[in-house]
Amino acid sequence: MKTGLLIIWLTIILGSIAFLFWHNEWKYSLPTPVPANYHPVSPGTTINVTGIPGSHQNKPLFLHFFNPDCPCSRFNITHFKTLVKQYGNAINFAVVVLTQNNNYTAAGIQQKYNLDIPVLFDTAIACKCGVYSTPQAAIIDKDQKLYYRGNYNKSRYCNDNKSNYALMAINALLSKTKYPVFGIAAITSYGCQLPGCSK
Amino acid sequence: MAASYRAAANDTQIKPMKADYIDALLKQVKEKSDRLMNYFLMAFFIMGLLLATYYDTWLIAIGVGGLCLLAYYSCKVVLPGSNLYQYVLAAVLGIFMAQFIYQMHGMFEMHFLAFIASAILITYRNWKLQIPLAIVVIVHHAVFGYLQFRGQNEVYFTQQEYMTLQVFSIHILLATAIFTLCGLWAYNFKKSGEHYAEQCFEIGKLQEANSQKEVLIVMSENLKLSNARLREANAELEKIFNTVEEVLFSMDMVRYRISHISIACIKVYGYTPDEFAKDKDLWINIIHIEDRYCVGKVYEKLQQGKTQFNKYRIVHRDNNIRWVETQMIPTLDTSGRLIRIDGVCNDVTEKVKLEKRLAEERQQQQHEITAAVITAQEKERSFLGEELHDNINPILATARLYMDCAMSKEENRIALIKDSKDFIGTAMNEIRALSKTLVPPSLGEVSLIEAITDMIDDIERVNELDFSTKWACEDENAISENLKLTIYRIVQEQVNNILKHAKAKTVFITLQQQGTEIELNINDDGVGFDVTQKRNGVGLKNIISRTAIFNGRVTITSEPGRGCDLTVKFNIASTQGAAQNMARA
Repeated sequence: MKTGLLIIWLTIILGSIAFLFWHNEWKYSLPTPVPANYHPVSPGTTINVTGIPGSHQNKPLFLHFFNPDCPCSRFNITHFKTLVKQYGNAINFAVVVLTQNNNYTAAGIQQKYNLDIPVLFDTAIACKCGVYSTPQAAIIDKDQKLYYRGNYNKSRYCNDNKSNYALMAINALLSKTKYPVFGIAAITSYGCQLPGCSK
Repeated sequence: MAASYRAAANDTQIKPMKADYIDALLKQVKEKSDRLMNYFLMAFFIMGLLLATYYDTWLIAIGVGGLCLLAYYSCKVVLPGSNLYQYVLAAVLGIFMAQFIYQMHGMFEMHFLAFIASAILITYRNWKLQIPLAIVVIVHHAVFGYLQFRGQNEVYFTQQEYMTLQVFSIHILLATAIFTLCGLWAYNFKKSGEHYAEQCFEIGKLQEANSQKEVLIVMSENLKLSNARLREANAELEKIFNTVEEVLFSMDMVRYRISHISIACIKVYGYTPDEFAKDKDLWINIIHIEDRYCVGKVYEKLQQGKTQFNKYRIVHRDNNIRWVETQMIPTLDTSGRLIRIDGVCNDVTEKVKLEKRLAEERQQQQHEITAAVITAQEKERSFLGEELHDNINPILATARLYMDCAMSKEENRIALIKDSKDFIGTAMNEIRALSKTLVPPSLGEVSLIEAITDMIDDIERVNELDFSTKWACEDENAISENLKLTIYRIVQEQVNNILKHAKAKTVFITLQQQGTEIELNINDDGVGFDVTQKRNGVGLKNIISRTAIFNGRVTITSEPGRGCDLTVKFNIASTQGAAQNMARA
């Protein structure tokens, strides 16, 4: 009797553990809710990037929308740094910090993540690019037109080589090849909501 | 395991003890491992919390980690006697590994936790604990690998595409190899532990056997030493037993014979110990026939456990009759039956003879005292008769003659009557003087010293004898009237002796009382006498007999030409019963 009850109890615990894993995974697999006043910005839309450091150097501009307090943002920081290292000469990279935490500074983030690129705190840029979650990437070509806006990878850990959407977009832009077809997984925003962008 | 040992341990008495020994060892291992697990599980939980800081996986760290701990400890609490909690522990360690992998987003290195967990479980020395861990690892790898292989893009632990069947197989093979090796080590440790426990048990048995042997050797040596001391003590006792003059004996009342008797029996009874041992009736046959009547009474008292003291006669081997005193101590068993008599017998023949002679002497002395008293009485009567006849009677006869003349003659009648009256007065004075010498002074009205002083004054008045006195009485009231009178009479008697025989000029009288001791000393400077010569006078005999009545002591020191010194001593405490002695006298 006692053993039977114990086995039931252990089964419940095991089920709870399984549920926690599933729930955690499921939570991050859901698309980020679209804000109520969101206006989609389609690729090809001209984005005014005047004033953004590096935007005048006749190079494409890669904007990394980042929230230090968002776990999802931290998941792919390594992947983003790989892109910076790999394409830093051909593309201007900038980090757009989207947070309501005033404790962060540009120098602090550069030092913490070892990034030698501009760090911006202008949330209007996200609106211009149609970004409402982190992490998100936006590539603006030399003509200041939005070339790509979407996820870095189908996996939030950026460990799926077949779905490195941001990387694929950079390669296509630099090689001037045909714009790749990414599918819904690339442009559907996953991750943390922007501060103040809740439904 | 313990059960298997017990099952195999029915044939001898030693095996169950060995099984218990091994059980104790395994229990010790289990308890020690449980303590270790507390630390490991806490470390795993804390590690989850630390990993949560990387990617904010707090819910997983606290939720999954907490549930793992809950599963382990609840199982341990509910079934403490079962090993189930160890299997749960193995599964929990596998889940912790999964938790860490998840928290680090599939970080490959986190899989090494499986090997750490496998190594940790060795401490329980139970190879079967590797199975739940292996199941967790294999099942989770297999299920998620298979689902991913099938192209499922839902929620899984890993999203890597390179998780091919080949990779999976290699992983499983390597993991299984590790688990198998750890299980093998656990098994070997367990066997080594059991072997070690058996060896310890055998060594313990040998040590115990050696210890017992040593104890026996020591006990044997102690016993030898004790026996030697006992022999010495027995020899000493035997020596004493056969040295003492009293007959020591022990009588076995179960077999009704003398079991021990000391060598002194030869002297007292004239028979040897062997003769007493051979003839069990000898001891009763030597009792004088007139005294055997008391044997039955004495035996009854001894049966009641009462020690007996008896004095009776025995007939010595040389046919002499001897008196013996015997003390007999009975020994009763738990049922109250007399089983032994120990005793000591002493030859008191000489003592009895001495007592008899002393009694005879006392009787003789009493006769002498009585004779002296009678003589004194006769002397007093004779003295009284002489005084009345030779002194008072003539005076009264003269007075009568004068009265007759006065009655017959007219002339000189008055003168004759007057003379006759004078004669009668003279007779009365003589009678008074006589009476004073006969009747003792009333010592209740005057003190002893005053009475003696009056007596000395009367003597000095009619004799040329000087008296010198010294009185030192602390408390004359402590002296009885009878003793005072005796002392008075002794002084009176000795002074008479001095007046009659000593021709002394000076007499020294000293009376001292110190405590209960009274000492009277009368010393004169007369002609003295030879104390060794027998004397016919009753004066000194009277003094000695009066002193004896009060248990006093008389010392007379004299020699011709050197006067006489008489000392009489009394002890007030020992004058008890003197009244009866006086009455008898």
